[in-house]
Amino acid sequence: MSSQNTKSSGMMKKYKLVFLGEQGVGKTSLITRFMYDTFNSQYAATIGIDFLSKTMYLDDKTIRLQLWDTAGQERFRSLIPSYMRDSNVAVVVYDISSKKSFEAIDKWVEDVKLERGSNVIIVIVGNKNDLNDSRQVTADEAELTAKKLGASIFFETSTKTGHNVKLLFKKIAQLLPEFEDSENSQSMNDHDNSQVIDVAGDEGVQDESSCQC
Amino acid sequence: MDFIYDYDLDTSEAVSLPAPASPANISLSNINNSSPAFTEDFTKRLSSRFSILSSINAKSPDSCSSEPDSGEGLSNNQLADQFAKLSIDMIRQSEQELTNSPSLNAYASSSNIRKSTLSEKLFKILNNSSTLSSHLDDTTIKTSLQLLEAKNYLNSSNDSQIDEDYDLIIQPGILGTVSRRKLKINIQNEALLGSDNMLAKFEPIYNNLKKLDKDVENLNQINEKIIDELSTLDKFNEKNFKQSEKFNLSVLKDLKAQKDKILIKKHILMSFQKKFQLNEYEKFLLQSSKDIETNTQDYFQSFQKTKTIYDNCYLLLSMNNPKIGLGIMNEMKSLIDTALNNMNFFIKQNLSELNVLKKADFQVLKNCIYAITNSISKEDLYTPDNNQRLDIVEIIASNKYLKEMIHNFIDSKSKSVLAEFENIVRENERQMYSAIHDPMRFIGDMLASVHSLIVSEREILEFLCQPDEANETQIIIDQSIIDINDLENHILNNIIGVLNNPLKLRLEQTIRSQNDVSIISKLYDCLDLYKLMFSKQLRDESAIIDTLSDLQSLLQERTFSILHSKQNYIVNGSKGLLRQSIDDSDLQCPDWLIDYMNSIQDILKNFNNLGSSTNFMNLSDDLLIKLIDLLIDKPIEFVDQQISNSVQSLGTGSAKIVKINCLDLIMNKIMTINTLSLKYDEINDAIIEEVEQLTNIANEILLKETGLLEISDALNKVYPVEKFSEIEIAKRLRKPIDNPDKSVNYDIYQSLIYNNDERHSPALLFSPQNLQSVNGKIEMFIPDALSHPFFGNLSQISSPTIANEISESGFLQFVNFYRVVHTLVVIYLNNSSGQGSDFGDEVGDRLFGWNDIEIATLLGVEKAYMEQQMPDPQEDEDRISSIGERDLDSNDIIEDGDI
Repeated sequence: MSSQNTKSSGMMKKYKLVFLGEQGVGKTSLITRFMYDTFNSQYAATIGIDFLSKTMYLDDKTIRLQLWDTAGQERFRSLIPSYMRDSNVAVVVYDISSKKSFEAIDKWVEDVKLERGSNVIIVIVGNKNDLNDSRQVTADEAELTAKKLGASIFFETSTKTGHNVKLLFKKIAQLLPEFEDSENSQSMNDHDNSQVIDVAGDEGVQDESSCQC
Repeated sequence: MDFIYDYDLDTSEAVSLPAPASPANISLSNINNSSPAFTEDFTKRLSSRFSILSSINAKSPDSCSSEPDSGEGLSNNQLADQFAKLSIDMIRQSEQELTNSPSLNAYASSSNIRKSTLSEKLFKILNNSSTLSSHLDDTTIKTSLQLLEAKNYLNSSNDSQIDEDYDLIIQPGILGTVSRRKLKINIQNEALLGSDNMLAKFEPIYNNLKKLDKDVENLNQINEKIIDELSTLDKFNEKNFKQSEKFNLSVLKDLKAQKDKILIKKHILMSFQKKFQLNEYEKFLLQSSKDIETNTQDYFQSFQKTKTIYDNCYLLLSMNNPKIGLGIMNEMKSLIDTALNNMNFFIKQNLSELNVLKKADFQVLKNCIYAITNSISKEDLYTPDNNQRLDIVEIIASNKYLKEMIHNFIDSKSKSVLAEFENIVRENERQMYSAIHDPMRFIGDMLASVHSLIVSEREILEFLCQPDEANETQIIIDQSIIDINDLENHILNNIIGVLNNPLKLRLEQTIRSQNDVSIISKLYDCLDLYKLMFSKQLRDESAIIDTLSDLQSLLQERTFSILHSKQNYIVNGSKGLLRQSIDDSDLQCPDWLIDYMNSIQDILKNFNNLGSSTNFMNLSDDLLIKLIDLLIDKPIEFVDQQISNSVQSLGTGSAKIVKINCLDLIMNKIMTINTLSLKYDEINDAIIEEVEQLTNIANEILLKETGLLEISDALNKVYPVEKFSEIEIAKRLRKPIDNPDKSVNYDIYQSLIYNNDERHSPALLFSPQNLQSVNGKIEMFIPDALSHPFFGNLSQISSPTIANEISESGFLQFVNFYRVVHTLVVIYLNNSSGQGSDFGDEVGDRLFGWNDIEIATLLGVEKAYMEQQMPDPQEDEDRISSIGERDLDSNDIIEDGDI
């Protein structure tokens, strides 16, 4: 991992998360919901690569998440591999109401693996969970694909309602090396035992009490 | 039996007044056989121990001087009364004295209790005495006798003996005396025995009291001392208050005022010390560099206090004597300078080790940075003359500590950033092939690395410079007078600025090695995007953004350079591309043009991605015109040049076909580019022109091959046949005619037909022989017209539409001409019209074997020709409706008898 060695120092440990996926699947919305707990229904395409960061307090530990929001438009694709290179987590987002965006996750994961090999946590996120009526991708199908692709986490979220968003980031944080020992979680390289969590539409699973983000 | 109390012996002894009964007679009553000696002794001892009481009564020493003789005094009531009166008087006197004595007032309350006790006892004794005197004969004596009887002192074995004893006792003589003495001795023995027993009982009490002896003695001594002092004070007071004026009211007032002044002075001095002085510990802290780490809290609090004192010194300077203020200011300034130097040293030491810095040291570092940032005064933020706020660079320059800190900051972080960048570059250079084979990826990786470095450095700066309000360890929480964001941007720009040269060097190498203008264009867009992303983080004008702009300028130059180079190769290259003759077998575009247009295809595509306000690669309008010239005009120019070189070998028609192919290629490349629509129109016009020329050539070939060329020339000299044909068709179709010559008809050409002057060739042209000859040629050529090389070459035009257009237009033009000629022959050379003819009836029919439709059919344009001749139904409807709206002007439509 390329995160800086700042353990037990005044500086927080930093982790790089790169958000990938087709245009309009809600990558920026996901980040905005996590960062500011807001949602804007007006679509504004990301230009290039945006950067945001947030400190997360979890189990008496503090980490800094660097969130790299990539543009889904084709003309910016050439930039993205350079940002995958030193990422710790690749969050591949698709839209549950768009089969095409789901079909593209194979390619995104392939690109990530090409750049990082297995040295990265892959997270599959099915966004727009609130659009259940126009669902084109079932949770079971997505979960199966996530397992096949070696994803450590699979979540269905709704950035519009905020469903599962905080929990997603909490789970990601728990998989990061800083928390691995304490959480007794799996090694991120050990994809055979990957922790695929499907909490689609399950409000009861959410436990955000200990996550002060 | 009555007991006669023997007191006659004692009366002689009672000379003086008897003392009151001892307070210790309680013991006697308890044992019922009290011993006067014991009682006296015990009372003495006890009263001597409680000398306090005696001292209280010191004013009446006589009152207690005489010891009471209980046995003797009790017998005399008068004496007892006297004693009582004297005692009471003494007590009263004593009370009065005590009351009058201010010094003893303090004791009054405590002694009252004792006095009352004593008085009670005394009165009890006196009462007992009086009782004794009044009831001696009966009660007391009886009781005494009963006791004697109870003890068997008077008991005998028989009554005779008893009587004898009584007798002896009561006898007046010696025997009686002896008996009485004997009895007295017995009683005394008994009393002594009882006293012994009593003493034994009192021994523990005695011992306990003895233990108190020392304390009581001390108490007595203190008491005596206090009494002495009080008496001395009484004397002093008596002496001074009455005689001296030192303690009169005015003196006291003066003293009080003096005291108040001193108190005020004290408070002022204390406040001054609090506001303008540091204690030794605080001074020591500020002068010691180690205490920043060890006593952080105290250190920064002292620093803040010093700053506050320094700031408050203006109050002292406004006083008449500013010397104190100046002195304090200098002292505080010196301490602040020392502290700031120490802080700068700490920052310098720790900045390079941020990643391994302990949390506590990190907070110290934050405090140091914040303290130095705030060390600047508000006055330093503005220009002295017009109070305009200085920019951050000028502000930093005006404060040496801030300047030093920023310098240390930039120096330390620049080194680490540069080292990290070099690592990234080394890592990238391992994949150096990517710079050659995939320059986009190579440059993208480099810029992405710089992007990561920028955001990391910004985060570090924000951690260090922004006050952490939630953090309790944040000591200095003053509002910063400098805009921290400006400061951060300045530092960040300078830190990242160190990457300028290495980044520029590597990107320049990559750019200069590129010869593909499409990659250059992509690189330009890539740099544009990174400029946008960097500016989001750097927020201000930054050197690294300027570097990217410089690289963009380089890319612009490189674009022109590559295009020039390519064109130079086309024009002056060793292969002499323009000198090469165009292959007449296919009449296609030259290869160099195809290559050139392919190489600039991506550039042209990028023209489409631009906003209306942005030129391609942000070129100025002049440069854009130059670029378009290079991209489009120059190739056309080169095509013309090459065609002109080959026109002789190709022929005009083929040359034009080649040109049309080239223009069509270029036009297709820019067809979808909105920004080049004008250029598209320009090329399209050029193609149309070429098409017209080719159409004319086609028509000319048909005329030439059919022998109608001379006729055509002759007719056109009279009136252009093409125009005449249009007017004629319009008239037939009743279309509105804009032509001013709309009244022309076939008569215009009549002179050519009837002019037999041999000098005028036209007359000969319409001779039957000539017309027969022409008809022969027509019949021979027209069916195989398409096999003519020219028309065969038309198929080489890459655009079938253009090829069709040329052939169709050419054929239609010919058919229209043929129709005019044919009509002229029919009108003027046939008899079918009823007019006379030199050549007999139906000459025209015999002269031309095919009419115009048949010719059109043979040329394959019958459909187009028929459409031309037939009214357009839609157009006709429109025309009719428009006519319905206004009066129909018959002159606009047709003139009867024209045809």
